[in-house]
Parts: sequence; structure tokens; C-alpha cells
Amino acid sequence: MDFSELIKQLETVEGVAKAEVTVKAFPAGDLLTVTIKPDMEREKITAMQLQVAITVSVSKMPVAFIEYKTVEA
Amino acid sequence: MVDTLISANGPVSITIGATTYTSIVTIADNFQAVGGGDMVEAQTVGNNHSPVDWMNKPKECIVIATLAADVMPALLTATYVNMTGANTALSALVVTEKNTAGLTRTVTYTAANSKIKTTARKNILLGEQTIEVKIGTYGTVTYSSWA
Repeated sequence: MDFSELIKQLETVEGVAKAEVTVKAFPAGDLLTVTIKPDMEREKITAMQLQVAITVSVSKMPVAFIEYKTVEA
Repeated sequence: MVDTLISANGPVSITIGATTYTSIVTIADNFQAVGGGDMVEAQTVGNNHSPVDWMNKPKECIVIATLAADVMPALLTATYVNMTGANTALSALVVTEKNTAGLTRTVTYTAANSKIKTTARKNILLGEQTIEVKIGTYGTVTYSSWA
């Protein structure tokens, strides 16, 4: 699997508006930035984070940190 | 040198393989730096059931999860606890935490390098059934930001 395929998978997770690799080789792996949809319900964010973490883990891509951002509606 | 880091954040869930357990009593992770002279080896049939700390096989982290759930059937079925050979590496190992502001984050361990070392000798009745699962893991640990 490569990052483009991982990003495609992540963007199918409920609540994820956008996923991107923002920094290459940060510091021993890559920084993954996930943008959360503005209308995401607070109580569903934890499930979304867990699904993202599992998807990244299964992909075996070298992600060093997952950063979450929210966008204004 | 082994430092014990017990998270001040409350555990929300732990995903062991295909199952996510939300009935967590405690999570503790003991990180061990792998420095000069140390070696990191995968567990084999020969050392699979050796008690933790009895082997000359340093690990980066031992995750101890105490769960108020009957996890043994699932662990045996998946051969994460294998009575006749090597324990199978977990397909996923993720801990979710919540902080005092109500935000959550995930801590993801390298699944292919994660194996259950021991479980509690017996279930302990502390108001309800609890069982302790000790997992040896090495490799990268991926944190997320709070959201």
C-alpha cells in the first residue's frame, strides 16, 4: 500500500473531510493530518479517531503522528 | 533502565486484534529504551510463554490492560493466546484515551510486533470480573493529537 491508497481509505471514514501527508520524514516517519468535518458530532469523534488509527496501523505506512484539525462550517 | 509511565488520561478503549474493549479498569505502559547492547527480537515458539522479565530480550514497551470483560475466549479463538505454539501477533493494538477536557486521542502500537505475553493467573472478583492482559510490543508508537 502507498500513501495515496491510505488517504483514499481514510477519506471514506465517517467524519473525515480530508487526509493528507503534510511533512515527509517527520521525524522518523510522516505526519498525517486529518481534517474533521465541521458538522461531526462530538460523541462520534472518538470512534472516527479509532477507525483512522486502525486503518493507519493496518496499512503499515510509516506514520509518526496523526494530527487532527477541524474546519469551520 | 525501565521507566513506568502511567497515563494521567483516562482510558476509553483498547483494541486487541479485531475486538475493541471499552470496559477498561486501567492501562499502564512501561516503555524501555532500546540502547547500546540491547537487542530486539521477535518472539518464537521457544520463548513464547517465557515470563516477562525472565528473558534477555529487551522490549520497547509492555502494555498492561486490566479489563472488566471476559476476554479469554476471544484471545484463545484468535490464537493471541495459543496453548500449543507461538502466540499470534495482534492484527491491531490501539489505546484510546480521554483527557479532562473531554478530548480523545489514540495511541497505536506496531501490531505485527505485538504479542500477548501473559494474562492474569485467574480472574479476580473486584465487584465484577476483571482480568489483566500483559502485551509485549516493540517498534513505533503512533500518537494522535487530541480532538
